[in-house]
Amino acid sequence: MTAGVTLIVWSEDQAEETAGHLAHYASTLRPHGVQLLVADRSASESGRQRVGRMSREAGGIFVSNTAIGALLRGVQQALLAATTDYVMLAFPEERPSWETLQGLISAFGTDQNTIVALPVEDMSSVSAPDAMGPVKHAPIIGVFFYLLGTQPGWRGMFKRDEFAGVTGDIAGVASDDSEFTHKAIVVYLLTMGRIAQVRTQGEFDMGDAWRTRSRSGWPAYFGSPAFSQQYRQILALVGKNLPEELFVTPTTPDILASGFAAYFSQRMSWDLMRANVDQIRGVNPSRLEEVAE
Amino acid sequence: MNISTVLVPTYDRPKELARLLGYMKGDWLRPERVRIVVADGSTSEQLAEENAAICRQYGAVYRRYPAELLFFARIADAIRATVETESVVVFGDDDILCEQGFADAVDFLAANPEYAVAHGRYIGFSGPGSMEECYAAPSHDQDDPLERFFRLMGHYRAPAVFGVWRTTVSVRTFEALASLSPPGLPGTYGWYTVQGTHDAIASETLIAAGTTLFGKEKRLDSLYCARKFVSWGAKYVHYTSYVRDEPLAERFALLKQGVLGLAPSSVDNAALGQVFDSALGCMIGRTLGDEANSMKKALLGLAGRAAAERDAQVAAP
Repeated sequence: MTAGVTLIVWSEDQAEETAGHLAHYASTLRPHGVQLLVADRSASESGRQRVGRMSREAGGIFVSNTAIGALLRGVQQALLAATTDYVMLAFPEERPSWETLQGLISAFGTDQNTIVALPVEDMSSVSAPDAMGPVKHAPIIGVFFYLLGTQPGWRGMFKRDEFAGVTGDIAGVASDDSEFTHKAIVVYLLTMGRIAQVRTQGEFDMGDAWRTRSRSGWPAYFGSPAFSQQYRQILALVGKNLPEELFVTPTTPDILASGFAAYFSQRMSWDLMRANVDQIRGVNPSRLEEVAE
Repeated sequence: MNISTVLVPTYDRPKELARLLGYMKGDWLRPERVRIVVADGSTSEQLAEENAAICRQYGAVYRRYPAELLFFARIADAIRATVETESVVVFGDDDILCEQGFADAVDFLAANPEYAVAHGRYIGFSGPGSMEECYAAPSHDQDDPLERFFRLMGHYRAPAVFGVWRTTVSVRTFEALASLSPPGLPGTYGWYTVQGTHDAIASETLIAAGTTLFGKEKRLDSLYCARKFVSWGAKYVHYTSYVRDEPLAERFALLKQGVLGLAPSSVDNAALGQVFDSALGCMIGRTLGDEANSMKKALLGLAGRAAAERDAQVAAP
């Protein structure tokens, strides 16, 4: 096994963006030995075939399934067969640079307990790490501040073995919402070891696509029995790795639940919901009017 | 001033009721200006008798209800049975309705038929010298009812329930609330209390639906109400546990059904369903964000104290 990276691209009805991402991969990352795994959850057979063809042409492994749990199991199997130490998740609209990947790899250093390397802006809410002092490296604190951050869940680099294991566990309780599932995977990983923060040299150039991805369905989904069940299962999975009680109050489960509260609140923010309603009503965004209020 | 009705729900609190009606005595209680109805859910005959005597003293209409009757059912019945004026305000026995703001709101509603609710500025107090303006919010007077509903819920800052309502809208809204309230809700003064926990979603959502789907909501500049802020001992819902334990899912579906059923036929039901999702999402999202921010402050505080203790240990000889 080489100390390289497998880039996992999560594609979901985004053939055009995926094509752009694969072109970026072929010209920028493949020359450095970065391997490619495309996990596709497109709804149509023709869409899956197209992404599969592009992925193989780019020299990548392709796994596909419309059921998120089955797809994650496919990812797990593919990763166990891969020959890299690290994995990194990306959505098609993202363009991670080689410099970014290098910076993240270097963050693992020689510390065996470091399991996740995150770009520093991803942990922006931990911008007061000095204030965190002695609890800086407590997993539950890392989890809380990670969830408090505003970036989507998949940014960062992970040790392959742990990532594959976690993916298999989460596959059993996977949520219908891809991003929530990804967030759960990262949170689960964060409970297993240290988080290394890296000020990366390159930028992701990920745009704003994540803000509107499936967001219109979030509130109703959040209020569904299926979501409640999955959330409970994820809390149980993640919670079993969090034995330490740093404080009497708040307790570790309280901190974990509040962290998820932060994440949920971002997904149902005024801006996102305002955009939904403007779309439903077929009107132009009325934000100027909002400010005037 | 046009004539209106003040409906006072009360229970077991003759002192508060006497204080409120005493305050309103003077010009307030002239029958050509305002009628007072008291809907009493007291738990004992003695307290009910005291309340009835107070009402006789001040010329208020008194109606007794079983203590176990749902609070919202009591309100709906009292309005239906006693209110003959075009507008009505449902007002707690421990708050202060300000005369000028009330008169302005009643007159505004009478002159503007496209409005369902009117009220004004609020101040809150918890004791002498602790008074400040609260519930500051804009009017929700956009032409599109969907936009009004989303804005009121999404930026929820003020309980429009305390405003002067068009009576027809008020009855429909409180009946909807009564039909959706879970069994076992005590007949006490529990606006938002469901089985011992503070549930802002149910009542505030349906009240927002009533005040915005049937007409516009007006905020006048007059001082309208002074509210006494006291701790009434209810536990507050933490939404993270609410979703984990599933009542949110049940409630979400029930409320959506309630709002869709409440809406006038002129409102596009399919679009309202989608707007409902976003509006509830916004309201829940804000509550969850507040919860997370409180935790962040607590953690940073604990970490700061731990760091200070460590520094003190290092500095010690």
